[in-house]
Amino acid sequence: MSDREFVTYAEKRRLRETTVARMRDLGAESCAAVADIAAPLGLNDNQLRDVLDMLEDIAARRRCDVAAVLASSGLSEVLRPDLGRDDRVRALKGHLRRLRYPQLSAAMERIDELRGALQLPRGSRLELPVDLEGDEVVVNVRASSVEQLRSRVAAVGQALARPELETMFALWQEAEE
Amino acid sequence: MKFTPEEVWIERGEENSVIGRTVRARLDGVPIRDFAAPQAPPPVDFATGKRSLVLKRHRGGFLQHCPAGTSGMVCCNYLVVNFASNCPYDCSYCFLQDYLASNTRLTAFTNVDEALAEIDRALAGHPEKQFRIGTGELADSLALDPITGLSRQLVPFFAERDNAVLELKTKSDCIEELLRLDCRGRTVVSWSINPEVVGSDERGAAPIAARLGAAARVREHGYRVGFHLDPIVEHDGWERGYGRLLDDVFSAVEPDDVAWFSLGSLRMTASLQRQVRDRRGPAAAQVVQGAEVVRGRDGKFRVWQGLRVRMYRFLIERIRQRAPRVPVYLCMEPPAVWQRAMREVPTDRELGMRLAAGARW
Repeated sequence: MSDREFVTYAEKRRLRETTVARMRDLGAESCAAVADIAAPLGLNDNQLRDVLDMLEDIAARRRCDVAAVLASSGLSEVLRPDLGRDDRVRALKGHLRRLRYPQLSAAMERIDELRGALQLPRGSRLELPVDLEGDEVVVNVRASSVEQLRSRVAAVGQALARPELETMFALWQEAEE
Repeated sequence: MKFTPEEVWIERGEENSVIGRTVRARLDGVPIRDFAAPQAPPPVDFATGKRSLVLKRHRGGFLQHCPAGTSGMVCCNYLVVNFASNCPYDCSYCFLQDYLASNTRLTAFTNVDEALAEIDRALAGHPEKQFRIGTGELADSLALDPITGLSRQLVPFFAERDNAVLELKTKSDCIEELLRLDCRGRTVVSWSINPEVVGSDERGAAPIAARLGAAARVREHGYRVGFHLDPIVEHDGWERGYGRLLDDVFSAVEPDDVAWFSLGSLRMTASLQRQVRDRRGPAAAQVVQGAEVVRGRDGKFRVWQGLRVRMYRFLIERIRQRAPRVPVYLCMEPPAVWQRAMREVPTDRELGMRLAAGARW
């Protein structure tokens, strides 16, 4: 993206001066690479700052510049043209988050698999702390009658007896499977 | 790595304190200005505040309980005494940039005699207790020593006391003063250490090889040494980096030379995390910015708990392979993390006694 196109995008989306300055501080190549993504998605100032936070963190982690992060990010596969704008923005943020937190993302994806394997009954949920940062899980059971509650709690008890639960706890509490 | 301030401000009346005289003699040629308390030198931003040195009296008590012993955390019963405020080094992750945001000037306090009298009263009032007292909370314990000579007052003071150990915690290699003193086993010199790659986030501090070289030298002069792997910075390749770091530690010193290892994961308030992210230019955060830190329920950012425990276990195992008898403790962690990482949760008293014993030859 040319500098003129970037300026047009910045004006159209009313980006703050500080955000524009932050983009320019990235260097011409990285600034253009971010703008190539941000402008077609019409990211507003808040969205762009969130994206910049993640991109800068990823670049720090990989010890490269933001342009290099974007060149190797596989973003083109994520930002599918058949998706609507909001879905593409969501996909962008989700993808960047996986790059920003590679170990946490891998642990959470594996925990989701293990949670599925528990086969908890309908109307129940097992919730781990946000970002796996915390000391307690919550088991939520919904029921509309005594019989249903007893039956679902019993089914939850059976599901929680599966060995996948230990594996899930080990991943959550010790990042080891 | 001697720090030389661009200018020195001295509170009127403190020119002839021990610190005042020493600094004036050792910084010949550096502009000296004075100010009258309660006035203070004009406020400056955090980076500028590190380039000058203020000498003034400390008002209020010196001796405090370590703030790391907040409720909900396992505490090691450590006391801190602040002889200085701020630090000439500029670590990207340093909490002082947040904590001292409105009081930025690097300052050394001149009324050391009053601090020592206060410590003396505390020690004499509890002869049955073993105290561990450190000077490295709001400042690096040794970074200013080449110009203030503070250790010449502290080390002999503690050498004469049976129920206390002084800990000088540093990222410097400023040990020349220490080599001329006899600590009689009552001073532990400890280093905050990290893999070389994290050195880019510790601007101005001595390179890790210089810190370990300094540790080897003070050990030859009768000091026990300690190591603080704090903040542990998660990064790509952390196992290799920290494994090599511990290899280097045990190449520099023998396990029996070591009083303790502490482990503390990178932790930042939301405000500090924003400041780390906003750093630009040569002061920009490097490795620290990419660490997998998430916001906890208390609003602080830390490496997520499972990974933190895994990192602790890795380090504890490596340390215990080489130094099975040296006390290892976690800093600012709750009992649940202690249990998972250390397989025990000592009481505060037990931990304090264990570390006091570790300080003895």
